[in-house]
Amino acid sequence: MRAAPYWLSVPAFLLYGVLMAVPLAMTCLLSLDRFSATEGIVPAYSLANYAAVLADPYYQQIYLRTLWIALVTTVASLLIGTPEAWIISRLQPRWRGICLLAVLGPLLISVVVRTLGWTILLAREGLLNQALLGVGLVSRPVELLYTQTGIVIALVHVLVPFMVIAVWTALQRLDPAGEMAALSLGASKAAVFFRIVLPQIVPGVLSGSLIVFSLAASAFATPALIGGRRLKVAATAIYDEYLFTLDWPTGAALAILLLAGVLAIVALWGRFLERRDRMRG
Amino acid sequence: MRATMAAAAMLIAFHLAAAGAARAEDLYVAGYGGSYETILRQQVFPPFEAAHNTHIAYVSGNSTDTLAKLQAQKGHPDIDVAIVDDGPMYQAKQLGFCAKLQPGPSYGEIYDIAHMGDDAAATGIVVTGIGYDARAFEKAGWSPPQSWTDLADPKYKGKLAMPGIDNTYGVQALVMYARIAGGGADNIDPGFAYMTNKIAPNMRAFESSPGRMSELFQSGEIAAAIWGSGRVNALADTGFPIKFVYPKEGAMALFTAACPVTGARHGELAQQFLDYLLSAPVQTALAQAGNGPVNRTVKLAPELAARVPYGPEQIDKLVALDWSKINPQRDAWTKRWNREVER
Repeated sequence: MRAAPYWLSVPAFLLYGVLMAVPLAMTCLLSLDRFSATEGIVPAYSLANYAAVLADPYYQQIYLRTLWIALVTTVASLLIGTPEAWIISRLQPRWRGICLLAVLGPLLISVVVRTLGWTILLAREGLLNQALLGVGLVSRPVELLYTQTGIVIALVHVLVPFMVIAVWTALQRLDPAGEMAALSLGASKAAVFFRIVLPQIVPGVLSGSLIVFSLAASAFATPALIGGRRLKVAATAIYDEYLFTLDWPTGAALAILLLAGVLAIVALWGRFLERRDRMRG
Repeated sequence: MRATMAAAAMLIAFHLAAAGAARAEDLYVAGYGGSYETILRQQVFPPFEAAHNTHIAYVSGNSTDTLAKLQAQKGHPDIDVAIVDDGPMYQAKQLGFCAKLQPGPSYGEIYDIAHMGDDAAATGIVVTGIGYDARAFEKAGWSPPQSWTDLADPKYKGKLAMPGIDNTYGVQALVMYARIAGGGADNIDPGFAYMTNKIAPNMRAFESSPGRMSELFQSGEIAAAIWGSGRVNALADTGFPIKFVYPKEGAMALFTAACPVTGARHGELAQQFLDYLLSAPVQTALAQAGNGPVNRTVKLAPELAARVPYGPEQIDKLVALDWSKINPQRDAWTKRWNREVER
């Protein structure tokens, strides 16, 4: 009787094992190898690649830039997505469906097509600059393409839906009686949001932030197309090593370091969430 | 119930067999995308497919992309014929990706400089120079750039682009600037200094994708670029007012090269396809994509001959690079480029 759950989980175990665990293990082993231009990849069980990457200011800057972009994107998605989810949940059912579709729209289009669209919008003579110039907010076109700001804008556009979904699920579990009690006692709408709703959906907000952070830290197509070759993030640096220098061991080391970094931050976040939940009793 | 299950099983088996049969006959050719791919698909593939009763599956990518694929498939390749730039082709030969050529009738008709050992051959010549937007230059009141050093002019700040060092154009530009600054392929420091201090500040972007480069021109982000004659011609054909300049210090010759892949599934067909690439009708078709013919017997119409490197006299004037000196250092140069130039 007790063995049945284990047998039932074998298919999922096999799927994840073959498709995720094995390639990950192979990448780990690859990161321990050495690369030479004349011999190709040479097996050598050493951590030399990790030492080289961690000591190199070039890669340090890349990882810091990746972290910064991911943090700014997460905060921006948080500030935009949380009120958005709250407002949509207060709409009439007819409008709610349309608005949800509009918010989730970016996810329905290929990331490359969507990002190429942003390159047209963010260009010096693109729509965004034309609008800013026309309204008179700026006197010269704003440089958005090939900048970190441009990357963040495009990333926020695609990651806000994830935040909205996470906050949405938390909002569904709210008891509307609490809000109505506050309103009947004389609280303003803003007070209801900040003092009644927000404290209860914090777990949803935080888990949405987790998703957005992980996706932003490992984003590839958007930083590659909008940031260009000068603004490298971890994912594009890995792509460079694999495709252009053919130095797969270094690329594997970069990938494992990115994975470890994101996992560490996610684990710390999770700990923080748990302790918070425990403190609230 | 039993009958439907049996019928379904037979249908699935038939489809698997048919799919297997279709796959076994596909010749896989890896080469460049963009205008080159268009000409191949429209004019070069159909006669070969009809004559040999086969289907050609094309895998597009830059030379470095294709090289990476060959590396990934080493020993059991999917790709039968690889078309890459001459620099990466020497790398591919060194890493053992190329199989021995079986020369066909067209092989005897190509120039001597197109011979690349016994396992590869050059299939076309393009020139690396400067492409500029004639309309943008006129509007700004600039005269067209005439030399490589013109690109260091501060008036071009933020209006230039060039492919990165992952692209042969980038490597050639680096070596050319090294020569101009007093060094060369074996003394590359002057080249890096020149690029970092004078050229990189003027660059809007380092863009290796020909599609994105065309987009930068068409959206007005850049006014000039270090680019290849073939690509410039392709963009000009769309009606865009881009013009190509052979700089004063010399334009670099870039050979496109092809080789049959070691251990390919269709070795015989691959050899035949390679010989077909070197034949006069295909060389004439590729001239429309901006590749100068390597086949001596090809006669081009004057308008077409003016657009591509044609004839031994013109080809002799081009600057050729010694890839045997460059390839061992390319790794180190790439690392240095990423840290110094592409910031």
